Amino acid sequence: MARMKFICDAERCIECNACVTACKNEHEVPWGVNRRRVVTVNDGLPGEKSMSVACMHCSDAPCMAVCPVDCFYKTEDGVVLHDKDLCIGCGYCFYACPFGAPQFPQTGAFGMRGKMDKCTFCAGGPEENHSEAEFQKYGRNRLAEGKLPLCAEMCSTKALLGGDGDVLADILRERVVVRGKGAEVWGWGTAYGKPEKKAEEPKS
Amino acid sequence: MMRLLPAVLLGAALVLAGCGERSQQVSYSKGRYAGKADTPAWAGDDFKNDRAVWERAIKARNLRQNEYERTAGRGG
Repeated sequence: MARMKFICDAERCIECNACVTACKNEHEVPWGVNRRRVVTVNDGLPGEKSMSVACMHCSDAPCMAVCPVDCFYKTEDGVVLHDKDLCIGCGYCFYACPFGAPQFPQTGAFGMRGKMDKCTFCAGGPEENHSEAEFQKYGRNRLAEGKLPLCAEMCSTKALLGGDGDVLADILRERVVVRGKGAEVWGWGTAYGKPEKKAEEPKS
Repeated sequence: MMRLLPAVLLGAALVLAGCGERSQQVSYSKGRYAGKADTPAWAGDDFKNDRAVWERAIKARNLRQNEYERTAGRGG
């Protein structure tokens, strides 16, 4: 049984925001709602790091714990989903979530909070798979098509990985072993591959 | 005096009841999902309720995210 997770490799993310765009387009997410976004630390300074963030589908999800109407559930594959028909838009899940994943569309004239919307790991929601109701409320159900979340699958640098946590950990581990760590991950060697042989020392 | 005894006892009981201390520790109970049931990803036309086939498809997609497996060289 898979445990669906996201991992974002901050050494690879180039802050292109393609994951954000792909998510919005795939699920036709309304204005003001960003199921995924890119966060940059030390923006503009040497060594800045970017990271794509969305719902992390926590193993012990705080949103599930605080929801007063118990509208959250977890699928057999560890994807945290919720029933929008039950959600009252109270915002507790937003306060509880350490990633700011729950989003609320501003519906009505006075900025009234609508029902919570968040990343579904492209797994739809509690409606019939591929139904119109599912798409309208939760977006496309790619998992039911045997596909992984679009944001991860289309990431050009493969910074964002999505899928079974064990497989992702193996991919990331191999990557770190190949590229090294710390100062080694900077510069030409990282971008274009390590040189085959060391350049000769200049003769003095 | 005997006529006042029930009233005294009742009054004493009421006064002592105010001294009682109840535990104010909140006991949290784990909530249960109250919404609609969801259909699993492998239920439907694509996978005909065959979970093993669905898991193989997902695993294959998962491994395709490892570009080292897709390229001959293993440069950094």
